[in-house]
Amino acid sequence: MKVDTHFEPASGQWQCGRCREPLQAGTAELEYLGSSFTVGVLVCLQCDQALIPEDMATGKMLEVEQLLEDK
Amino acid sequence: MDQSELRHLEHLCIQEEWAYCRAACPLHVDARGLCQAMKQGDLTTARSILDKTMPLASILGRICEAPCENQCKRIEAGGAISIGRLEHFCVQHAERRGKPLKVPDRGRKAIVVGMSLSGMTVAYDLARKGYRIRVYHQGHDPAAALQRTLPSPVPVEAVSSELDSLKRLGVSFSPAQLSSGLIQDLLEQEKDMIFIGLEAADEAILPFDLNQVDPQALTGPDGRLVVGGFAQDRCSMSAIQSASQGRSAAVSIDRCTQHVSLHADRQREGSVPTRLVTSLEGVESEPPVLTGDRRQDTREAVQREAERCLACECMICVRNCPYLDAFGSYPKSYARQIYNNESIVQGSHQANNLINSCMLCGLCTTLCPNDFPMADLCLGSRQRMVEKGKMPPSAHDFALKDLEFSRSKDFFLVRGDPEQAECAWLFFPGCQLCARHPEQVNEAYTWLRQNLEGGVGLALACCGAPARWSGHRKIFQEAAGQLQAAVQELGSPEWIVACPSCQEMLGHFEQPPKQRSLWDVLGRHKDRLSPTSPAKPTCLVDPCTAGHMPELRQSVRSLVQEALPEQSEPRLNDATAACCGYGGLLTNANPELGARAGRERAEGCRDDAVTYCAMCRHQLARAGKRSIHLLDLFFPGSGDPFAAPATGLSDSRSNRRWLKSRILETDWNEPGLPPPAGSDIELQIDDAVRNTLEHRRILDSDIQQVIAAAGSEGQLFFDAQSDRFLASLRLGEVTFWVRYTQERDTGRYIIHTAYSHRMRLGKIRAKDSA
Repeated sequence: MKVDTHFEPASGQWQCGRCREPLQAGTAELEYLGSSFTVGVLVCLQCDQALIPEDMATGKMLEVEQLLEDK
Repeated sequence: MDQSELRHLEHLCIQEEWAYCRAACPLHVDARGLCQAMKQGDLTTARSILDKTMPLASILGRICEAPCENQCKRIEAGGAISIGRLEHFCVQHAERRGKPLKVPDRGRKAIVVGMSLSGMTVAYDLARKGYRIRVYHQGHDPAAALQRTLPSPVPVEAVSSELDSLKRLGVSFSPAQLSSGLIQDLLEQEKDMIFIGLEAADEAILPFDLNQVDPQALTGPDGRLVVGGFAQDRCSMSAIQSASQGRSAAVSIDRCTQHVSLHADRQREGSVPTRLVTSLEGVESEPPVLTGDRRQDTREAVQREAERCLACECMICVRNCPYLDAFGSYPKSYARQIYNNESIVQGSHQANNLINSCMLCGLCTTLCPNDFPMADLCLGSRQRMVEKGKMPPSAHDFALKDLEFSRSKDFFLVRGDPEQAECAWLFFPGCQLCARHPEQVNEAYTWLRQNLEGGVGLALACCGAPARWSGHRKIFQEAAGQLQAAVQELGSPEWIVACPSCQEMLGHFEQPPKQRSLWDVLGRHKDRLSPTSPAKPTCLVDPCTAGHMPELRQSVRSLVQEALPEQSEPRLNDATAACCGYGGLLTNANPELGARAGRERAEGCRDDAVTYCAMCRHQLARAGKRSIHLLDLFFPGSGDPFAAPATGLSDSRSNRRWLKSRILETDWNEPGLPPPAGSDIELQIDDAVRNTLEHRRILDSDIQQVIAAAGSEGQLFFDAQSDRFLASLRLGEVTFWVRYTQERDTGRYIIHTAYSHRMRLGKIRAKDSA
């Protein structure tokens, strides 16, 4: 399953905390209870980091987690 | 759960049983529905309700003797509803809407002899079932013939309109001399079943004696003739009896025509008892409205009379439980939903939340006239969900982690008396009391050691309630096993238990230990206690678990008799004590509903609350209720204990660590616990953020671990615009994120927010390579 939506923090100039390079638009795989998704998020490819914004974690992700838990 | 268990459960719930009036009515007219429509002034709907079960309602609605009124529950609160007059008003002012529904004609036929209420009921019922009915009547005018046989006069227009309606259903009318010859001819020439209405014909026309008629099926000995319209006790015939016999006769004719059992499953015909129980709690007495001449009944008076209807139902459990209320139905339906939830192979388990939201307090079972076991049903279902791997992992995760904490070296401690070799007693305060009132627990232990003979040991542990409530039987056995094994080392002391839930859980141990409540022990030495009586009256709140423990409630009342001289109780208390919302891990699985239960418990208390369950005190305080735990009364700390806020999640853990350290240091002269990992990371969290963390169940220790691992094992980001860091770390099955700034001068971490998710982060790619 592929989720086309791109999730970014509402504001800020985001850098990788390790290399201090600006984050770029990328994708990250998310897995829960045997189902996986690909979502658009800000990433640092060099340090292999992906930023999950608060709205995404407490909104869409939580909703999908609960749906999967009831499957 | 299998189908037979489901049926048994469904049978226990009486909410769908007929109301008293409907059960008493030989035709089972829905008088409750009629009243509900009429109180809205909706005569059209009221008429439809009548037409659904009452044959020839324009006639019968005017002359029914209303035996239902004798069983009306309102009798006990002002007087029965005048159902007969409501029906009369309804049929007088509202016409039948359209043609009665009927099933297609499949060539079945039957004959009715005599224009009578019983005969016309047979014609009406069978015509609606698709029968072609031929009616033989005396004289040329069927309406006049029918009018002659009615026990009370009915306007000719009403009779004509019902006969027109029968004709539209395909009933045909033929004049004939109602004689034994006619019956003989019909028996010889026709093959169909024949009904004879004895209101219109003499019993002498029957080819057998009336005594030979089957009293239930109303069939004659030849099996072709069915008889109605006669009083079996030879008294005068009422209209409703005539119609009722007609209905039974129609059933017999249909069964004979279809060659199916004549007698099977007919217990519900006629007037029957109901299993419904309707409580009159809170119902005020109201006298009948329709007391004058019926012809003077006005629309407004009729409406007011209908408003007196209690709309009888059971719902005693639903009215007294926020959980049962929140899911919009009642146990019979919940049992079906839970059964379906367990049975489905694919698709969404829609009842998971229903199953996990029960507080398992058993109040509903206590209130239920049939002891419907909602808690057992939900707990059993949770256990099966866990065993099948179908329990939503997030539902009870936090509570199970908390149990793990209580079982860890951070809290678990079982020791004998620090100064005596023997150990006759074991003080078991319970983890939640230690988490929320550690100083009072410490003082209570000192008091017990000073006042009891034979040595007093101490068990700082969890009884395993979170495991049992969440359906994790194996974890419960492990927790109980760990505790019992440690206590075994002390011999077999009698347990002094401070928490009612712990008391209940000990009963579920493989070998339940000998126990008594702390309140019983304190009560026996009241003269050695100096309680601080509150200045204002208080409300004694029994925890739900105590509802099943009369001795415990008695011990508490005896203990506080002098200390709380002015005492009230909330509505649901004592043997019917309601849950605060913590029971069954409701606050974990369904936090909003848990908060509602806490609010309702708090709102039920007129005065400041005193309770003897740490969870109850916590829930009451969270709902903003001034409240104390009973320990505060005997071992008060500083300040106003009623105003102390509810203990937060992080504090509830640090309090347990503090208590263990304190007791090790002071009672056993041993070093306390070393500081936990990450505790050198000093956090600054304002109230708003603290609330968010509580809501999201994020502990300070989680935050400290995220910060400690930021940029190494964990991820780290920086926002140049706000000058804030964002770090994340996977801890077990949850990834935590923390947004923070580090103060340059103090080195403290100011926490701006934290959140978490259970999804696991996998491969990270550039946008176009995905």
